[in-house]
Amino acid sequence: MNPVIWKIAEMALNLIAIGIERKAVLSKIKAMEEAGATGEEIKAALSDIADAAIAGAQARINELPD
Amino acid sequence: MLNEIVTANPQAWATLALIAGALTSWLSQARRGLAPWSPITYWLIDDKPLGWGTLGVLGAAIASIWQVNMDGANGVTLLQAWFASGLVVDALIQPGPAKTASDALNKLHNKASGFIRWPLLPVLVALALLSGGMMGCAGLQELAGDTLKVDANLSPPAQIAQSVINEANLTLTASANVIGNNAQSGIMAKVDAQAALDEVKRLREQVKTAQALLELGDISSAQSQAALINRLATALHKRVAAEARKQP
Repeated sequence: MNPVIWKIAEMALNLIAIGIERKAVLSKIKAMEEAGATGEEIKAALSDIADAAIAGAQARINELPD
Repeated sequence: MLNEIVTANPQAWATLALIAGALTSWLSQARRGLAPWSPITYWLIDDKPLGWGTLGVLGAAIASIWQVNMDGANGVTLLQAWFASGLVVDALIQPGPAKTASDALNKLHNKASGFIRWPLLPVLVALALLSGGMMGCAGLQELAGDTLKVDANLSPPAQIAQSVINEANLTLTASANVIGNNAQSGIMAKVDAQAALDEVKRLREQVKTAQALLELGDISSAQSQAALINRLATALHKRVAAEARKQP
């Protein structure tokens, strides 16, 4: 099978994955908005979520063997 | 009612368009006495040119990817409808049943070449431009509607800057999650995942700087820095996708 097609398909799947992750975070923030959160609270939540995501990714990478 | 369904659930609409496109393509293949999956196998295995049907399915798939990344821009469904119409054309211009795949392709190519020359080609180009323009407008509208709530006490320029900073945090969160997923599932090598995550961390520090600048009242610098981070984060997304595809 044409390897170029596989590469394009894999890249497309990764772009989909990023889009889905972004939507998942956005949904959480939108739910906060609907629950009446203020702009200041949303700013703080986004900042905390970003730091938690980075820490989580680092922990998962650290678990992998070298 | 249809508009309400599309607006409420653009992903379902995209999926329906894709399925409709695939079915139309398969039906057109069946008319030629070929297996339903033959448009794909022509291209992947036999290195034959693509037919309209395959292009339609691929186009609808690409539009779906775009739609996911644009958070459901309804205008993209126009593009999908456009590709679906390409599939209908595919079904209409098919020659009769062919004995071999190459025979069918040759007939299709000859007939399609003559058929699309005039007047269909300019109409197709015009429709493509029209759907592209409408799609762009719908996408911009969707992005504007997606702005996260910011502190109403801020000045209008500061609200814009805060929106850009919020967007940067959102994008970096998605990047970090995908890098973690890819590393854990073995799609990315550990060293590549670490390098990508280091980049996310660097951008996150820049976001913090932009936030500090905004709180100090330097709105212009904060906004320009956050906008730069957003562009860099988008580039990082592409890099993460490209790194992942390097893996065996």
